[in-house]
Amino acid sequence: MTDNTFQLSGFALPGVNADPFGLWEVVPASRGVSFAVGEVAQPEEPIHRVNFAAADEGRALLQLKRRDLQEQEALLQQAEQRLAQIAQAGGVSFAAPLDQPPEFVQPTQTLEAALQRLMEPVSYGLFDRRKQAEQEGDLEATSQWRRFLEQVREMMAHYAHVETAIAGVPIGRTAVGWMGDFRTTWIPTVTSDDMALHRHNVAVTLQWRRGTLRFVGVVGAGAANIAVKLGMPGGQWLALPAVWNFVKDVLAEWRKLQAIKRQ
Amino acid sequence: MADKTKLYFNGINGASGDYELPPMTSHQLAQVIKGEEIDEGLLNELKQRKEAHWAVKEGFDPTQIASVGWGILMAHNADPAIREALSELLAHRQKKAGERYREYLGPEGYRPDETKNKWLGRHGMGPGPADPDKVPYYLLIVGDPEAIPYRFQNQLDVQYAVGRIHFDTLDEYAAYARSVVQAETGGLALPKQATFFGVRTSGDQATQLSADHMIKPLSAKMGTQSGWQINTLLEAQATKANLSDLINSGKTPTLLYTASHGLGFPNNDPRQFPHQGALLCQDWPGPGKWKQAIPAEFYFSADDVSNDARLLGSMAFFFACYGAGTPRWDEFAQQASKQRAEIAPRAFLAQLPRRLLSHPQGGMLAVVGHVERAWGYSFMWDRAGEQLTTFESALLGLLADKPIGHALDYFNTRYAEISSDLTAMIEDLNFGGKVDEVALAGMWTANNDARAYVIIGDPAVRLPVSDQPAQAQRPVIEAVTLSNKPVSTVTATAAATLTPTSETNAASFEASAFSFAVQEERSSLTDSIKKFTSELADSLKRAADDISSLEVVTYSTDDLSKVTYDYNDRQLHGELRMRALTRIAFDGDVQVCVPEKNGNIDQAVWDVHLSMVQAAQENRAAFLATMAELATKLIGLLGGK
Repeated sequence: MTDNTFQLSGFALPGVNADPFGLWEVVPASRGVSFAVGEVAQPEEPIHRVNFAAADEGRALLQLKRRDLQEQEALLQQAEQRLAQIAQAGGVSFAAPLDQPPEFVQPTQTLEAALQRLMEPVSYGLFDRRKQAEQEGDLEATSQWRRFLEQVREMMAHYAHVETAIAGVPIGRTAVGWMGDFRTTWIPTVTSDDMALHRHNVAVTLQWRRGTLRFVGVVGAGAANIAVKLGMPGGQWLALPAVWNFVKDVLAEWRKLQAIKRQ
Repeated sequence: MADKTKLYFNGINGASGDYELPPMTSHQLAQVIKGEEIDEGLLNELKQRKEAHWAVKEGFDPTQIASVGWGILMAHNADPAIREALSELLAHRQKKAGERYREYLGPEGYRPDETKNKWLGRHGMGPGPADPDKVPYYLLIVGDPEAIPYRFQNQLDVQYAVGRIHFDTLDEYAAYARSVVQAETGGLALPKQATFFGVRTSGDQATQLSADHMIKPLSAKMGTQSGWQINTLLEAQATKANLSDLINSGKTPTLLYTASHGLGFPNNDPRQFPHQGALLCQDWPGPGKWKQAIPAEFYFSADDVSNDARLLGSMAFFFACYGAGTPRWDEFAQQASKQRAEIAPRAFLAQLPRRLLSHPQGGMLAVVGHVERAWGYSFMWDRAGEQLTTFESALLGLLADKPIGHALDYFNTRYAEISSDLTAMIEDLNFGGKVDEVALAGMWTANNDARAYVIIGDPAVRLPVSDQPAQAQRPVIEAVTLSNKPVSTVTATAAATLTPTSETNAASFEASAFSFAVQEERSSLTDSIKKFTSELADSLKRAADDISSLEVVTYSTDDLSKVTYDYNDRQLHGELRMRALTRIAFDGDVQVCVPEKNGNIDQAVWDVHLSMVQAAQENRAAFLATMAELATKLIGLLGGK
């Protein structure tokens, strides 16, 4: 096994089944439940399995992943601030600041359009097919967010298992309890450098878990803020699909731009 | 002189001045009744109710909310702002009902065309006595009768204590909620004082019957048995001016009981919504002397309730046609011709009780009234004469501090009994048997009458009285200023304005199904958020309790693939050798097991172990902070801020 892979099993992400931070490839648990061989009835717990083609490549890659996560966490913070600004702005049209980061441009326009639609005069819409299609999209997005929320809740309730392998050979595994207890197992031939690599992998994984919690919080707080702007009862539920798409899109846009830059 | 062989019905057509329903002989009425359809399920239940005389499961005290519970029931697509406007009342009831408090909203709420049994079934209850652990005994329906039909309310009311409110603005909902809470918690002490108001019009058999055989004996009985001070305004005293004075002078009796005609108007008449069910007073000269439209000077309507009225804590009982509300379809005509005659563009609650309950200075707590026509014949019984036991028992219970929903259970028992007997008679009639037509007519009117009494207001309210009432002027509530904008009335608007073609029906159904899906999704989402928030809170609490130690263990193994993780004991199993352990106590005490190699510290393992300890400490602190932040945000989302 010579590829560099970051695989996450036991955690299904809704919609496109993609990690909102773009770190993990989500795979079915059955692809490698090595912690429970023969124990098919065991419940699924999230297993973060990383394979590096070589230790040196691994170190560089982990460094990059860590930086990506940090930058996306900073973006989350900006997205939260942006949502708060939008909520405080008068009227629906909120001109983007000139210094708006490029990854915010398209998602902000989409968000603006969605809020415009929500603030249009109420029509019961019995025969308005366009409106109905938009509402169905909103319903699907709400459902996605709910499933994401449930997955994150499940994830937090379980241990995180982090495994590092080099060229297909596992070198260390760590089970992290919800309160932060660590249980790490090494193979006898592991080197100090390999141990450091695994430790680094554990740190990145835990950073991702915290980031995922923050992601949920940013969407929730953003929807609650926008509800104030909408000024209608249950406004947070109306705003939720637009806010979820906005936050997701900001991160996705950033990754697209990074991919272009790195080519 | 009135023809004694004919039956007279309560209710005057305000547009024509005629009777709403012409007097008819018992034979004529029997022909009408033959059209009565039998609902076997309901019949069986009514028979059980009649035989068992229960409403609540044994072992529960129906006079105590804490024992039998309290719930609010709204249509599945009701505007959530209404729930928020009622939040003061809901919090108060939740406190009183504890674990037996329920909110039936969204998917838990009433769904279109649902029967009582279907709705109860969804909540784990079949027919029979109320089991407050499953569904509370006291149920407040919130919504207009288009969204939650009267028929559902009547069916539910047989075993449960049911009331209903429906207002046009959020302010009105909030004002009512505040009135109930203030009456129950603000030390309101009204005098034990009731007024009986009986119109008796020359040439009008209906009001002569109600005055002579209801108001007079009932007020006398209450005067001797209740310990209350009873005032009676009868015949010449039962004028609009006097009624207006009772309501608007600041001296409104604690209980007001009226018997009169209620105004009815033709379908879509401009006065139908504002004035249908208004109380026709002694000012009306009578059927022989007045043959034209009834002017507002003759009747007391919601328009006559002044903004300065002091009504907080009072209750009223209106024996009058449409006194509580009007159905859309005339069930009487339906039975007669098997065709549904539309008597109003939509079913609605009468304006007068709504105004009295939602008064901005503080409103009445409940009004009992009649949906559809009230039947004067129902307190007179064939050969037995005057029959007031049900009315007496209900009123005595109410005056003796029973919650109104429970006090009025006598009407439900009576309805169950009459309905059961009536159905047997109709079966005999339909199979060619001989039936006493006068008895049949009497039972039929009595049945309709008993069924159609409803409580407008919270069924759990009581009369807030004291033997030492406060002498000061009746208090008012703190002004409510939520939003005067009308609440969403999707159901009613759609029903009232759309032509019922197959195309619109299909679209309407689709829209309704979609709306339901949205409600379901939001409800699931709310549940998920609540669950997550609750688990976060639990985790944080456990963290506070359990933070005494952080454990970091380092093992080695020859074959990592043979190491298994047990999900039950959450331990690693296999050929493991513990190489290092660190346990850090909250008080700073640290226990360590250091790895050895050839009698010396295995520095490589020890170094990485120490770095893992550091990572674990950092992660724990960051993780707890993130959980706390998330919990705060999710709570904000649930609260919409």
